[in-house]
Amino acid sequence: MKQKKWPFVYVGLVTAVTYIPILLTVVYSFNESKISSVWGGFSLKWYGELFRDRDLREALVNSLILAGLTCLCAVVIGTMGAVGMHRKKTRLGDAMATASMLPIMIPEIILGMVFLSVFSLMDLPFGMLTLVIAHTAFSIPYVYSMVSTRLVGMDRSLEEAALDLGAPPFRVFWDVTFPAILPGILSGVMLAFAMSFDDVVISIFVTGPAVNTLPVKIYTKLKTGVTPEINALATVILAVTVLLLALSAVIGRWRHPAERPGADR
Amino acid sequence: MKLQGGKKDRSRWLLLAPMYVFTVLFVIGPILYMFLLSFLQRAEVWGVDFSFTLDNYKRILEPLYLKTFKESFQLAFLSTALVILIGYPYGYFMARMSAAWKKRMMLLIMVPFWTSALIRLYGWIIVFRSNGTLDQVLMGLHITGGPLKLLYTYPAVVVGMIYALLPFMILAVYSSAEKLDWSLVEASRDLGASSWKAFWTVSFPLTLPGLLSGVVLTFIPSMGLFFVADLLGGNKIVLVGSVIQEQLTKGRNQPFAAALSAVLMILTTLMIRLYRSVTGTNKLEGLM
Amino acid sequence: MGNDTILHLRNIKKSFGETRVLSGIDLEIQRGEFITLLGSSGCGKTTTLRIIAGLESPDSGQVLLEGEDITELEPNRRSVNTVFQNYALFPHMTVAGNIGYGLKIRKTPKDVIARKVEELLSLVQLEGFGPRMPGQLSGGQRQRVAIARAVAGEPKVLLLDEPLGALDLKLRRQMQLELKRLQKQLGMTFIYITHDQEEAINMSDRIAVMNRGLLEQVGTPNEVYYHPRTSYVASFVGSANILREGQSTFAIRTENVLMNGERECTREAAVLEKSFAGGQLRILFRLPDGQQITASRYGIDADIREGSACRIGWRPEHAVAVADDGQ
Repeated sequence: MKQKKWPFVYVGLVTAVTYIPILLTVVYSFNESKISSVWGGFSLKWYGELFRDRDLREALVNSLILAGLTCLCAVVIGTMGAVGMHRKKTRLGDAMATASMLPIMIPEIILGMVFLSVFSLMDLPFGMLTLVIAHTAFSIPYVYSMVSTRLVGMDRSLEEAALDLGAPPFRVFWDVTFPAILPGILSGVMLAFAMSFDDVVISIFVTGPAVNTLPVKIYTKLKTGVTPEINALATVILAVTVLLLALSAVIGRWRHPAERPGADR
Repeated sequence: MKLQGGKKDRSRWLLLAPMYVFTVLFVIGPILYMFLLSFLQRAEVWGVDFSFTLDNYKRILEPLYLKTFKESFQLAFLSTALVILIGYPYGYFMARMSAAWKKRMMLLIMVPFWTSALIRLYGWIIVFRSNGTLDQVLMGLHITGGPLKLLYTYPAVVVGMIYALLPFMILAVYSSAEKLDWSLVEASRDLGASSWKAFWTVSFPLTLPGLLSGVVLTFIPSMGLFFVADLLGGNKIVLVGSVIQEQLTKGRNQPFAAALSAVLMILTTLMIRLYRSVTGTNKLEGLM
Repeated sequence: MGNDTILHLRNIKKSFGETRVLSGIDLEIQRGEFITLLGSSGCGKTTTLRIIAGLESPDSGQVLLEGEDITELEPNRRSVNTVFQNYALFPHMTVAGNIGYGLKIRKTPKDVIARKVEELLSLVQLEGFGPRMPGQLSGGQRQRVAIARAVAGEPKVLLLDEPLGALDLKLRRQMQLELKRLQKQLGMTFIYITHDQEEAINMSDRIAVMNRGLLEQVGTPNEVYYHPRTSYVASFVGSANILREGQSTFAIRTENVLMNGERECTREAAVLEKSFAGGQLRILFRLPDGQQITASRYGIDADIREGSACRIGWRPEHAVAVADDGQ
């Protein structure tokens, strides 16, 4: 098919519409006036307020810690699970794998409700502990499926070759299997981190009075009264996101020449 | 791969144990508990009275709650349909681009994807509110005389939902369309099919798995994203999600919330099963 | 044949689910010999190799290495290394890293490893390739790295699973000679698997012909070629005619079929067709009882017309009695 113009036009249009709110948020973060619709001149005062806002800072730190702990738990549990399942297909294994996927297969509100009830029943203190447990529950599926996919696509004869050459089983894992699944683990971690950091619904239910995560804090702020401070926060988060994405793209290109998966045919 | 029988099994169980234990304790257990709860009664102040009752389910059949379910499903359907309409072509076209453009597009999509949904929605609040950006543009161009009170209306909520969920559909469709063997389409053109026919009889069926994943990834969250309705719809748009949240927090009625959740879960699961059996796929592409 | 058996397979049986793959393999392999397991796909040769390597476990039977029973020993504890069919080079390690892997596992000091790797690289004629990645190599180069890696640990026996299958014809012929040279140079015992009889004849000290889970004949290339014991062996190694007369079955090599005035032409035959294949002229005859005989000659034509009647025959010693395999 010859290169038509209109697909690009369509994509461009949708992308533009997608970015409009984002751009507006950024633009108005520099607005002197408190009322977003009126431009009062360029100002950085909302950024100042942002940095002085202790609640928000605390919430940010909490969210980062939460996401970090979640990633740790999810990576360990999910990767071990994926490797274990890969060794032998059993019906129990399949059932367990499906069950572990449930948290992302049902609406978050149900998960929130369910965790709230169960944690009440177990008499667990609501706070970082309950948050980590809940977040891990919906993060494991991402890590598990990413690692599983890599395992399935991996050349089995590589593990056999390592065994054949004298490597004990744990060396086989470390020298051959682990490097092969590492991209999967990293993707899973990134996804888990983003999902955890961004989570609103579940966090609302399982958080405790002392712990505020960033999304929950923003949500309550949005409901009570909107200040352009939020714009400033949004812009900062956006900047960090763009930076991280750019970084990962650069790293990807840098590793590429040295690390070409051998076709070995 | 051969290892000595006993040793291999033991190491395998060690690897699986954390995941199995966690899944039973924190996924299967809680969901079963939810079903259990839905048959119990709420206690005086907080907590649960362990006496069996069907009241919770009876209550759901009241017109108020039935209406809520109906509206939630309507919104979910509408949002999903629109997301398909907008997102499918987007993902498909993306897959057809050159390698360089694909990379750029991926980055462009990733930015909204990774940015908090709340923040992106906030941008829409700015647009929609009275005398917000949209109003200013429209009034400036003399298309409208006064402010359109778009915030806290149904269309605003729909837009918000679409906005939040679009990236998932796009990525799912893209992932599937990217693997499409274009020579199949060329073959059908060669045999006489028009562009449209070729698409409909070859490309579309083969990208169906991606579409299905996208639907699953769109429909399910749309049933639960009550904060979208909250922020953009205010008190006017009440979804099942909001009701559940209210029952838990203000109403302190765990059993009723559980019943609502149970019904919601069954309905969504049924929908997904139905869709899957119709289209016949079982893998969740777009995530990988 | 010397009496220095390095590997002994005793009555190896193996089934996968319902399918019986090995029905009782008995084989004694001599130290320093190049022996080939020859057979078509599905005959069980790869399974046999994997059992020797330890990657599969036999249902019954024993594997003895230098007298020691290693049947249940893990693959990483056996002094047996494998060159895999798809090479199985570790994609994220350099060529040097791949070759030195086995030595690294054994905690050999780094300088010793480095020296050994250099030696091996020149042995397989890949000097200077150490720092390269497998993804950057051609098929033939990868294959040589796989060989170098497998011999680095000085195993007692080297197993080669159809290593030349993915190479083009010319390269394959070249590599056959190289492998043979290598084996002689190292003095190592090579067990080679292939379905290509040309390869087997070119490289092996002995050939073990396998069919449907059993060894039909084990012998030198000469023995297997000139004195096949079954019709399967006769038709698999070289091209043979299988003639059935009464209760007996005979194998006659196509080049041994005589015609037209050459002595011993006592049988009436009709000429069915002439063709040119494999560098030789092939003439297909039909005997009065309906069986078909092919004769082969060098050159591109013979003074015989299609459709004519002719007399063919063969020297009695060229008709080898074989067990009828149904081939």
